[in-house]
Amino acid sequence: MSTLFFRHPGEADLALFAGGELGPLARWRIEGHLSRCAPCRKVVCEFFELRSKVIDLAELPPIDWAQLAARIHRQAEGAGESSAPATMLRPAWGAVAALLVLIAAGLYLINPFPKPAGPVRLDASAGGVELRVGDRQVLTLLNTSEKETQVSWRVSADAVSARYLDASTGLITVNNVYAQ
Amino acid sequence: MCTRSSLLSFCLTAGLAMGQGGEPLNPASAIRFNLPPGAPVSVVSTELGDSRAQARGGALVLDLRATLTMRNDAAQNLRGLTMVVLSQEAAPGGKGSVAVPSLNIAPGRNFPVRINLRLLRPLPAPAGPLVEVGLDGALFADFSFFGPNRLESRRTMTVWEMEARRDRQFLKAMLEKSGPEGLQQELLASLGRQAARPRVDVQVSRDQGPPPARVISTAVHALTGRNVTFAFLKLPEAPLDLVSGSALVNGAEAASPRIEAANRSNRAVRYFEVGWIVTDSADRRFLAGSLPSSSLSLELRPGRAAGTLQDRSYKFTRPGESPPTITGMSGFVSQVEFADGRIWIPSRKALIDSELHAVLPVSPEEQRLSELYRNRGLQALIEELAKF
Repeated sequence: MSTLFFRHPGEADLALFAGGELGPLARWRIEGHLSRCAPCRKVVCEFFELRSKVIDLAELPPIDWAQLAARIHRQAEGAGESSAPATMLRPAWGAVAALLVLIAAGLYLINPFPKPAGPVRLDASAGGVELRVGDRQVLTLLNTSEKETQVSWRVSADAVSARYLDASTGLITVNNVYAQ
Repeated sequence: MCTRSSLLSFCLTAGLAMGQGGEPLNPASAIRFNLPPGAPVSVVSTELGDSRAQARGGALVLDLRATLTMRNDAAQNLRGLTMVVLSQEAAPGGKGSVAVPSLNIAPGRNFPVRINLRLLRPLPAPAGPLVEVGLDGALFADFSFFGPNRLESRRTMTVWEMEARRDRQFLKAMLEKSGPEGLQQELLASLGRQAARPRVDVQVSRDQGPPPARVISTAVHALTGRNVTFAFLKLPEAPLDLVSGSALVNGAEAASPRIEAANRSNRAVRYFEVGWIVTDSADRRFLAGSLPSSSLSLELRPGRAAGTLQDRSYKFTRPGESPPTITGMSGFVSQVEFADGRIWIPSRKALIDSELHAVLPVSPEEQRLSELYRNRGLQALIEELAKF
């Protein structure tokens, strides 16, 4: 095998590899190295776990475009009041801000809430079964058993089910959520 | 300063909060029933009790607590029912279902179905019902089925009914052979197994990112995980032989489990499932899941082999404990559907002989009967068994 694979990649390259952000050539070289270097594999593993945790924690809040536009508008107006040269640009700023407000309003009306995006995840626990898309809960079916031991679940590739003895009806009930 | 759109947003939120939040929902507006024409069951009444809708941060949170009273309008005893639950546009393809197995509802009789769900809807909420509930299937005592079967509820409910007959037969034989005391011992053992089963929560995820992300994810799994080979439990009379199988395992996570099965029967197979049992570092075994055959339009001819569905990641956790470390895996054929619609499930004897009964959850019918014994005593159970 080529000596190309013997040199340890830098930490930055390993981090990029774990994040899937390297080009095909660099990826191939690092894959070759990792196949024979346990310490670097460990580093990649740590980066990957860290990345997973960061992704879990870092859901971007929905952007309030209207508020953003208003803030830009306010700043533009404030800048206009405090400096003489900007006063000359006020009509242009006003037009830009108005345009932004229009775009923001349009975006809000078309798509007021970001659509769920990201990997589909199915969760099963004693409390119920849940379908999540990205970090967003989409549909949860809740169990109403008296005891945790009365719940059992079944997991398959595209569905999770929770079977429980319903405390109110006395019937065995099975809740399912599906990924497709 | 308040922009027009934020004012609009506030008004919508406040309007929904005032109109719906905290107030009992109007059944006619929150939930719609869509039973197909000629359905053998009907909705007699709907009660929404503590259902609530509240506006929270630009989204509507709907907590639906619905109890439906349904009626069996068919001429046969109803054995099982599956209702599909769709939330409007909440997520493309996102759906759920509520099934009620182990029924024995005579023609013309009413029975309850409970639907408890929580969903998030973006604001402003569109006009019309937030949740649509329809029928996916109804199974009757003669195994006849009615419904669109989009969720494959026919197969699922047929398996439940076959398990119910198998387990009632077993308990009746126990009563006949060992008397009420023998039956009681069996029920106590069943309740003990149900209480002793390890509680393991599970997440199933499927990477839906662009192809490069999937490739990277697979590559990282391959580099950080270790390949664990399945051991196979061979059940007598199983129509399939499990040939090979493995999964990438890293601590409490397993990715891309795949098992190859060969059809050793003389009939074509349409669908099969492999039960997947995981052993952890404390030598505890638990059912991790079911691996279904990889194609919905499978036609596995005699002597041919096919694999289970893969490209999924499974993560196991234990509430209040550290996650289990997977040290071993085994698989067994848990159900087979032939091309002619017949279904095979393991016999009770095979489950006992292989000690699988100690690991698998009991069937819905065994759970129902054991709860009946616990709540109403041995005589009530004997009378219930006599009804079948």
